[in-house]
Parts: sequence; C-alpha cells; structure tokens
Amino acid sequence: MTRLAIDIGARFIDMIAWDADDIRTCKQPLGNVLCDSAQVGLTKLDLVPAQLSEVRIASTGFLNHLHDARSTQNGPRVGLITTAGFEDVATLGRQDRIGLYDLVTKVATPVHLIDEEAVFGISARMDAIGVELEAVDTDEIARIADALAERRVSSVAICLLHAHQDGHHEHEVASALTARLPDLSISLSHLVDPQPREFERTVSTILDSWLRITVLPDLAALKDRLTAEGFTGLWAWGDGRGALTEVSGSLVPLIAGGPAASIRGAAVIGASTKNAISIDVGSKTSDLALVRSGEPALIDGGLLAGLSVRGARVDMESLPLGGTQPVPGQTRYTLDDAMIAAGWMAGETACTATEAAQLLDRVHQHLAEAITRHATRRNVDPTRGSLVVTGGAGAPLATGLADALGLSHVLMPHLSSLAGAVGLARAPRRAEIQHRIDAPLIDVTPFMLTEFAQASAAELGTLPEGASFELFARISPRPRMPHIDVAFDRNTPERLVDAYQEAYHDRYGIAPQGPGHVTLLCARSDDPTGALKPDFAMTDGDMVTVPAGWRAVPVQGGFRLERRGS
Amino acid sequence: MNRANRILQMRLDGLAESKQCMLLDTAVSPVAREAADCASALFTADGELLAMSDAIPLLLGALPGQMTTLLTRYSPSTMREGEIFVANDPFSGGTHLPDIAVILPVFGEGQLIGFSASLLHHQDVGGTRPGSVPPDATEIFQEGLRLPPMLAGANYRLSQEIRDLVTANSRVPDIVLADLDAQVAAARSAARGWAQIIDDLGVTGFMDATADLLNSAEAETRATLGSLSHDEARAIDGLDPDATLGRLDVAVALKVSTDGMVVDFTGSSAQVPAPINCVASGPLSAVFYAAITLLGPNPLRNGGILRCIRLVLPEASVVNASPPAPVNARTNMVRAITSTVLTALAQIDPKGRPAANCGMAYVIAFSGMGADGERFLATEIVAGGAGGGPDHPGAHAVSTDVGNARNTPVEIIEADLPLRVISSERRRGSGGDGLHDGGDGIRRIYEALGDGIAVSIRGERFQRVPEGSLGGGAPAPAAARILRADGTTETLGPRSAVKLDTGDQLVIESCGGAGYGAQS
Repeated sequence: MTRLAIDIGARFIDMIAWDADDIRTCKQPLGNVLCDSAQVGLTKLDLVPAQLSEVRIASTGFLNHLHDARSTQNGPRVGLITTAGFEDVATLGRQDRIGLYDLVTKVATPVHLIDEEAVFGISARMDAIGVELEAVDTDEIARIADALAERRVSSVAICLLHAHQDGHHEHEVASALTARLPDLSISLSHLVDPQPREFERTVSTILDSWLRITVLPDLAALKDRLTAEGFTGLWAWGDGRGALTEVSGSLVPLIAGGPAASIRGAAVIGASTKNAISIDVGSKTSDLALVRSGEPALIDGGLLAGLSVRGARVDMESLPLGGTQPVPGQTRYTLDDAMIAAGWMAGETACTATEAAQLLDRVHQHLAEAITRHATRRNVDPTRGSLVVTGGAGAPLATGLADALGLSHVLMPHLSSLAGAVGLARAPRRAEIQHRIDAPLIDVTPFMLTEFAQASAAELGTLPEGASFELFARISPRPRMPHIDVAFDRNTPERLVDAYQEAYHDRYGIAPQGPGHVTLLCARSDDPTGALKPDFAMTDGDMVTVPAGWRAVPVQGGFRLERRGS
Repeated sequence: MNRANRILQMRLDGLAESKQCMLLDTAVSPVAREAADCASALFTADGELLAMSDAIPLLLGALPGQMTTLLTRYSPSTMREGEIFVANDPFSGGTHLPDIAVILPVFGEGQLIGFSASLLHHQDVGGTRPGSVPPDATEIFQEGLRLPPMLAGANYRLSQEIRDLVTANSRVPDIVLADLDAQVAAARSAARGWAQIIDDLGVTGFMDATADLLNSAEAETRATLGSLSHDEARAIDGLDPDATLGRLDVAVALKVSTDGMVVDFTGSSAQVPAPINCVASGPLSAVFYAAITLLGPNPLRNGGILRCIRLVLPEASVVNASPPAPVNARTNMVRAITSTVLTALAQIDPKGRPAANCGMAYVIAFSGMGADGERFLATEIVAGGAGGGPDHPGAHAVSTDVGNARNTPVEIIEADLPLRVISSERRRGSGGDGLHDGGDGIRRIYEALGDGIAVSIRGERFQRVPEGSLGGGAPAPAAARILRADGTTETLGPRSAVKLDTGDQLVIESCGGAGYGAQS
C-alpha cells in the first residue's frame, strides 16, 4: 500500500507518495477548488484513493489566511459569546503593546477576526473553582441565536469565565444554540484551550472558530472526496510540533502544521550541525526556525501572524514575505516579479532585470535581517552556524541569502521545494492521552501515577515495534504559575517529585518556587511506522541549480552549496 | 559599524530578553508574573548600559542609576563571581521601595566583563500599608524597608542575613524571597549565555566590540539630534491639583543639538509631603524613552544614547525629590513627565507623533486576611487609552509610553483574592474626539466577597487631562468610586486608601487618550 503526504501551500499542493520500494513526487498548482487540484495531483502520481493506506496532510493556509486577515482587516468574521460584563475581553487583551518605542501604539488582539455586532454577554456565571453562581438562561440564549441568525454569523466562539474549571455552561449554551441554528459552527473554550487566563483562552477559541469557516471546509471536503472515491486508510494532520495527530477539540495546534513540517523536513540535513537556521520561502510566507543538532526547539506559545497564541509548537517565526507578496519597501512588484525578471522562473512581468536585481537584493537583506534577529534572540550568531534553505522560492534565493549573511555555504535538503511534504512523510504518528487532575504535587501518589500509566497503556493498545511510550506530569511550582512537563517512569512513579526538582533546576537553575501543583497527566506515543526513511533514494529531478561562483557538494540528506574557492 | 558588532548587539539584546522571559516564568507574585512589572538589562564592567529587554521603559531607565551608585560604593576589583548585590533606595538611584534591583557581576576568562541586572516590583517591603504603596505617606520612612546598594549574597545564593532582613520586614516574605531568587536565577542564566558570547569572541574581542557599540550608538544619536530643529521647546503638564498640596507641575525646556539632548525641568513644583514625588530616575526614564523614539527602527539601544542626555533637575522638587520625601506613588509623576517631554519633543519632531496618551495608570493593591486565615496581597495595574495618531485612532485600553504593564486576568484575580470582578470593559467615549479619536480607557468593577479588604489606589488624571493635538479633543478624566452594599456611593480621589466589606463594589475608570485633529 502507498502512503501520501500532502502539504497545501498558497499556490501549490506538494505531494509525496511512497511505499517500501518507490517514492513519487508532484508539485501541483492549486486551482480554485482544492479537491480538484488534489485529484489532478493524484492522477499525475498514477494513484487512486483506494490505493492509499494513509494520508498525511498539513496546510500553510491556516497561517496564510491569518496573515491576510491581519493585513487587509477584511474577510470572514465570527461571533463571540462571553460572560456578561466581559464582552470586551478581545479588545482589552492583556493591555500591553508591541513595539515599545513605536510612535503609534499597536496591540496584538484578535479583533479583526470578530464581528463586533455579534459579540454577546450572557448572565450565566461560574466562580473560580467552577461552582455555578448563575445558571444559563435559555431565553437569553434564544435571543442571541436570533441575533446571530440575523447577522448571518456562521461560526461562533464561546468563552465563559472559569470554563476551564467546568465547561458545562458552555455546553449548555452550545446545545441551546444548536437546537435553533443546527448549521452554526461552535467552538467552546474549555475544549479548545482548557487553561486559565480568559484573554488567552478567548484568542484560542476565536482562532478555532475562525479557521473552521475559512480553512477547514476545503480540507474536510478533500477528505470527503477521497473517502467517496474509495479511500479507507488512516487520515492524519501535521501539527505545530511536527508530529501527526488526529484533530480533536481544536484546530489551533494545526495552525503552524505546514511550517513545522517544512522545518522538520529541513532538519535532517542540519543534524550534524550544532546550530542551523532553517528558512522556507513559499508563496505567501517565509518561515524560519533555529535547529540545534537536527532538532527544532519547542515552545509553549508566542506570536503567530500578529497574535499571541498558546500551545506547544516548533519555535518558529512566520514572515509575510513570499512569492506573491510585495517586495518589502515598495508596492509595485512582488517577489515573483523579481524572480521572473531575473530569469529564475517562467512568467510575465513589467519588472526589468535592473529593477529585479535591486529588488532581490532587498529581499535578501530583509530575510538576512530576520534570520539574524531570530538567531540572536536565541543567542546564536548566524554567521557561525549553517543556513538550510527550502521552499518553492527558496532555492533561487539560497546563495544570495548566504551572501547577505556572510556565509560561505548553504545547505539544501533533497526535495527542498517539497520540504513540507517531506517533513510530513517523515513525521511520527502521535497518540496522546491527557488526564486533568489539578492537585498539589504531594497529593499525586505513586499509585495514581501507576494507575494512569496502566490505563493509558491499555487505551493506546499494543504499540508497534519502534513506537515510544512516554509519561509526563505537567507541574507548576504553585497554582497558575507557568508549568513544565516532567517525564516519569511507570516503574518508578515515586521519583516524580525528585524528577520535578531536577527538571526545574535544569531549566531555571534554581529549586522550584513552590511545592508543586499538577494540572495534567499525559501519556504519549510516537509511532514511526510507515515514515519515509531519512536516506530515501532520490529521483533524478532532485538536482539543484548552481549559480556561477558556487558548486554543489552532495552531503547526507541533500547538497551543500559552497562558494568556489572557499 | 561593522556587521559583526551589530550582531553582537542583537545577541546581547536577546540575552536581556531571555532573562526577562525567565523572570516572568519563575516570579511568584502576580504583579511580576501577570503584570510583568519587572525589567532586565546588561551593563559593561564600567557600568554603562549594554542591552535592555523589551520591558517597561519606566523601570529600564532606572537601572543605570542603580548601577552607577553600586560602583561608587563597591570597587569592581573586589567583586567575585557569584556575588549578589541588591538595592532599592530611591535616593541612591532607585525608583520606589518595592522595586528591588538585583545585580550580579559577570566574569569571563577570570575577569569582570559586565553586570547582569534586573528590577522587579516586589509585593511588600513593609511600611504602613500592605503592598508598601501607602497613598497617605508623608515621609519615605512610612513606605518600607530601604536598602542602599549592598552585598547580599555569594555563590549565587542570597545570604541568610538578607533573607532574615526581608522576613522581618515584609508581610509576605516567602513571596518576596521567591521573587528575589527568581531575579538571581535570571541573572545567572544571562551570565551563562554571556559565556557563550565570550567563547565566540574572547574577552578582548568582546570588550573592543562593546566599546564600538557604545560609541556607535552615541554617534547615531548625536547625528539624529543634530538633524532636528535646534529651537528650544517648552511644555508644561502635571498631576491633578490638590487642595492641600497645590499645583503639581512638571515644566520642561528641551533643546537638542549634536551636543545632545538637554532637558531642563526648572519651574517644576517643589516636592510635597505626599507620595507623588519621584526621584531622578523618573525623569531619566522618561527622557531616555523619548530619545529612543527619535531614533527610528532598530537603533542600537545602549548607554551610548544615555551619553547624549543631560538633565537639569531642580533639587527637592517633584521631579527630583530629596530625602525624606515619600515617593511610592511616583508612577504617575513619571507618566506626567513623559507626557511633558513628548509634548515638547513634538514641537521639534512633529512627524508621525500622535496626540497625548492618557498619561496615567492605576496601581491598586488589595490586601487582607482570607477565610482560610492566610494573608492575601496582590497588586493590579489598570491602563488608559492611547492618543489618536495622524493616520489612525488611538488604541483602546493599553499601556502607553513609559508603561507596558499587563492587566491581571480576571480568572487569576478571582482565584487568588476574595473578589469577584463584575465587569471589565472599554470605557466607551472616554477617548478625546478628533479626526482620529483617542483610545478609550477602561472601566473595571470589583466586588468584595469578604469584610475588611484594604485597598490602596493610586491613580491620576481625575481633573487635569491631556489636551488634544491639532484641534483634537481632550479625553474624559479618570474617576473612582465605591458603591457600598447599603446603596450609598463614595467618590474617591486619585490617591485613596479604603476598606471594602462584603457586597461593596469598587468602580475604577481610567482616562482615555487625547484626540488628533479637528473632527470633520
């Protein structure tokens, strides 16, 4: 059986199909209908859906749409239901600004994703430990349903105070709305992001709600189409950590799935390098990350498309600069125009070769500055590391980028223009079981840990050979402080306290600032079954174009472009 | 300046920012962890500012003074790796007593290469009222424990003596000590990152490069200042007039040239026996912030800029108080100073500058004994609105200019304190009208769930609000009141100490930003 990885970009669908003996690739232009384009791609790969045992999919569309919405302040918007008195939660944000010394004060809030006429407060109220203070008023919900219908709102985010402690009010509101508006898409904060801090949870819920009407429909339609045409295999999404997952309560983990896959796809070639910067230049964005010894770091949240988004993902940065985007500092020409005029790609443009040279220099400088900022923020001098370039627009820019950074070489992995699909093809399938406990560490007994380990192992079933099984406890020094995930062994659960002390000290250099509070137990299995091997055999088409003054040296996982004479 | 040195500046900036993130990860008190009322910076071995985190400018501008004072008391040649110095004395370079600076010398190849410093607002350092921000203080002695720069530990550990001192003075010593430990750990982590830079450059290379960075920043700043009008600009602003204290003015005469930026505060009001005074770190923070806004995107942000700043500060004034003046509520004085300086600066560099921001923030401390018999104490910071700009309306409900404190989430407040937040909303219409309206302030209502909850409130702009720009309107003033459970209403002034009993509601309304341009 054949497996298929699909990375959906702004202009192309990158596809890799592989089995034990063969690997086939396709870069299919994305038409108006995703399903149709994917179908054409499959045909080019000489495949029908019934032949596929597995489909792995990721999309940069999540981020691209968010960048577009931010820059245009236009597009679909969602409704929002909050606790009465807190309807402005998305506007108020956390009250801090970005760009401390900018003359114009700017904030990172999701107001551009909300229909401000469709924000409603409801009287139902929980207290801080999830005890009901006021019940849901169904008449009130009925009035809101009518108003949502009148505004033609198709998706609504519900984020009530303290819902992370008890979500039954959110469920009640959702049920009442669904009864009147069966087609309404509803996102519930306690399912999307069950953690305290109402603004952060609201951002997650709005994002989930917004993505369900902007990006998800096309992806769901693709799955339906393949299924209708005989696909009965496994379906997995690439998430922001670079793993494969099944969508459960939230789309938010998928937002960075496309870039994370590209970064994972690029990482192999940097495995022998202490510090490598990976940059994937696509049609809409350039995504970059620091890769240390072949592994990108993970973070628990940060800015994505101008929004502070919670959740574990690869420590990456996404810039709104790609082939279809204007070259920074002007509005007349896109990067594509410059590359066409330079003879790097086919097409028509009014841009002259002279203008193109200047524009490309500007792009190189802009990206070099971004790379430098990203690396130095992580205490890495980019001129002392390696640069890994991927993406459809990456290859032609690679040596110019190296020049701009003062590097004598640049790495290009095999199938660099399909790095996202490669990353998906190599990704492990991740299964996770999470159990909320919200208890002092001292009350989490070895018996509880053992019981959780056994129950999780049973639920995950017999793991295939090569699959990992890890157990974590999410612990913060005191309730509501930032947490760390502490691994524990099911055979020595009594070591959790010591393991926590050690892990905290390793990260921060001090003993934990409190006795410890556990919010979550997690069992995780990464199953590499079927993943494309790092040393896959290359096709003839995977050659790099080498500009004058440079040479391509084959290395493990791809090519090293070196300046001649260096 | 060469590219390698610019990269070094960016690495140092990144190091300071990483240190700041670590502080936010490990600090225990909500005012640090949630409100981010802390700042991190790195200094050269000579005590010049080398790099700053993206933290509250009001705090960042105070660290250079702390550093200078430390080096006048302790010779660098006597310092050892792992030693810890602390200070909070406003009259020795500090701000107000809750802000404790923790400074660690950093060594490379056996020699002193710089200092890693942070300033963090601690929850309580004693004094007459919980939170150490008594709005009724008349002398600094009522405001808490005063620490001149002192050696406070070795081997990266606070000494038992300093632990005992804090324990004896603070109402919540475990929280203060935990936050001090967080400062030490963050400083140490920066030192480890610094070692990687030394590995790359060597000490000599590093020292040479940092000298170039400082000189380059100075040259860039002088060049920018030289390109502006050399006319003197004047502005006057201040705090709400007080029946007892009289007018509380900040007067500024500002002049720039390639010689630097000279800001003369002559004409500012004399210090008063109320805690609204600030010490010299306040005007320095304000002017430093204002200077950086002149420098365009991605300037070298280091002590080279400070070399170009000269302040003329009248002694024993509200902008440069002398002992024993109380200073705990100095935040809004620094905001007023910033507004005044920015207003003057707009006369010589008007391009792109918005109308005045609200120029205030509420700092509210809640304290008492919980139903479990445990003491609770937390500080909350509430911002106002931003001024309307030439192209856009002002942002609503946002920390502006030298502030950048975050709010405390309602879910955190309600989990930590016997309070219910009834509402938290944009105070619609409070921004000044204009071609581009000023941003609105915030209205927040807290209800007491227990008796005897002490509240210290420090606000401003209850009467004296900023003027609009180019025909724009002034914002609505701030206001505060208590709706007692018995139905009566008590109107509060900008600085109040009150008690709430079960069912009482505290209503806080912050000032909006000023409008820009005449309404069409």
